[in-house]
Amino acid sequence: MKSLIKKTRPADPQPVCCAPPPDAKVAQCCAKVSKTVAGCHD
Amino acid sequence: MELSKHNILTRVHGSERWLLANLLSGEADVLDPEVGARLAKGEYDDPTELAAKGYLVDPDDEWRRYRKAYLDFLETRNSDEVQLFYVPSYACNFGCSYCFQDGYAPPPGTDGEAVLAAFFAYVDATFADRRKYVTLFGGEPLLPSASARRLVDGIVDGTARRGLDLAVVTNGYHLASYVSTLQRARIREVQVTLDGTEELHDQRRYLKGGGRTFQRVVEGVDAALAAGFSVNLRTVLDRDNVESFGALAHFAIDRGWTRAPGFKTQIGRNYELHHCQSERARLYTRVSLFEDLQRLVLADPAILEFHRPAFSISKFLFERGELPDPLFDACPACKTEWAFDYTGRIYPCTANVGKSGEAIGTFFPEVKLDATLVEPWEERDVLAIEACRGCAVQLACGGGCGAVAKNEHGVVGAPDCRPVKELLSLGCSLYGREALESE
Repeated sequence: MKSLIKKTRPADPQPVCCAPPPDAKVAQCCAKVSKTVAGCHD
Repeated sequence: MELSKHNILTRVHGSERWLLANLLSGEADVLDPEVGARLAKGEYDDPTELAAKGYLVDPDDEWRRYRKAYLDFLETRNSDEVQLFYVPSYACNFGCSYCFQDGYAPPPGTDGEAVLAAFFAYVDATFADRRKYVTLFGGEPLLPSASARRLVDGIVDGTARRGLDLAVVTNGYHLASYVSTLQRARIREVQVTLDGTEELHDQRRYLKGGGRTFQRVVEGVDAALAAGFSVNLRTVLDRDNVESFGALAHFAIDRGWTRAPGFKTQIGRNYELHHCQSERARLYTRVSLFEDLQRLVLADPAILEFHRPAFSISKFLFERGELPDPLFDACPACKTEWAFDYTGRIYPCTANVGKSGEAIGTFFPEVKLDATLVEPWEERDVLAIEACRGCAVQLACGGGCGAVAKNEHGVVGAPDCRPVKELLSLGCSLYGREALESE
């Protein structure tokens, strides 16, 4: 088993009420850089 | 302990090795052939390592982590930027062979400037506490008529006065003549479409009544980049033009576009959105499109200098060395995306703006939002869609597109499944060769 992960996630996430600011790396259907597209639906 | 419901296990294309990924634990591994084959049958030898990486879980503990990730997702989205599309007209000077709006019969407009003023009043009142930007959409918004220029002036000034970014989706034909106007705005990006090199582009994206467009679009891109705008070059692909994708890449590279700081690219798959196309044989499925893209890239790796296909989460994984956050909902409609048009109607998103029967309210002449129409869009996510709940790839797929799901199933709360495993298999073979070849 060979890991492909180079970064580690925080081991002990804080409760939602005091969570750190989101880093907005959600994999949207269309990436942030192309969010103006008419192709979001694909 | 049991194997996680969110394990995504797929054999890597062209290899005996396997990829195992889990978006909830954030882990991804390459497995040796026998380990992967056994795991595919639910068998394993080393529970300690599998458990340490969240591939083997206590179901109750995994549910708690799933719920926490869901709450994080909602919180992130609630503070995310909202994209507000504005359509000043559905008129277009192009007659593209695959237009999804060609069946629209929009009603005549009223007073365009009064409607635009009402749009900004609605934005000010409704999205006062949200980060937001406006995207000018169509039809084709950059037409040469005096009335079209007046409306673009109004949108440029309205966004600039509010400190809002403005993005523009245009076919590029009149872009060069609009650059000085757009320079008064805070331009986020300009999206322009080129479907190939000159001959192929002109066969697909021609003027209404005929007429070539390639050279004018290229001049528009040149002018936009020279003005310092970010240009998002879109290519709509099907079997008719895919083989020229490499030639387009080399054209863009040779012209210096790929070295411009604000230049980026995207691929749009030609597909049937609202109505059947006459030449269905040319359309790709998602998998077949990416199979051909992978073949083209392997034959001509310089294409990657122009565009790096996502292959689901593959590009993200291999470029960043981590997995994206779990995607509980891929559909931004009525959450971080709204669309408005010159008739005063409000729509959930760009896929259905202007489509008869899809409006969810009005902002002109009166403000009225139909909560019963908005709610299905607001509530749509992988927890609300029954078919997604047991799916291993739900946190990569996010339930897909609500508009496509509604077209296919008649309701928004239905899945538009993405072939995550197949794309990950292809993407891993392309971007993960180093990891596959090492011990």
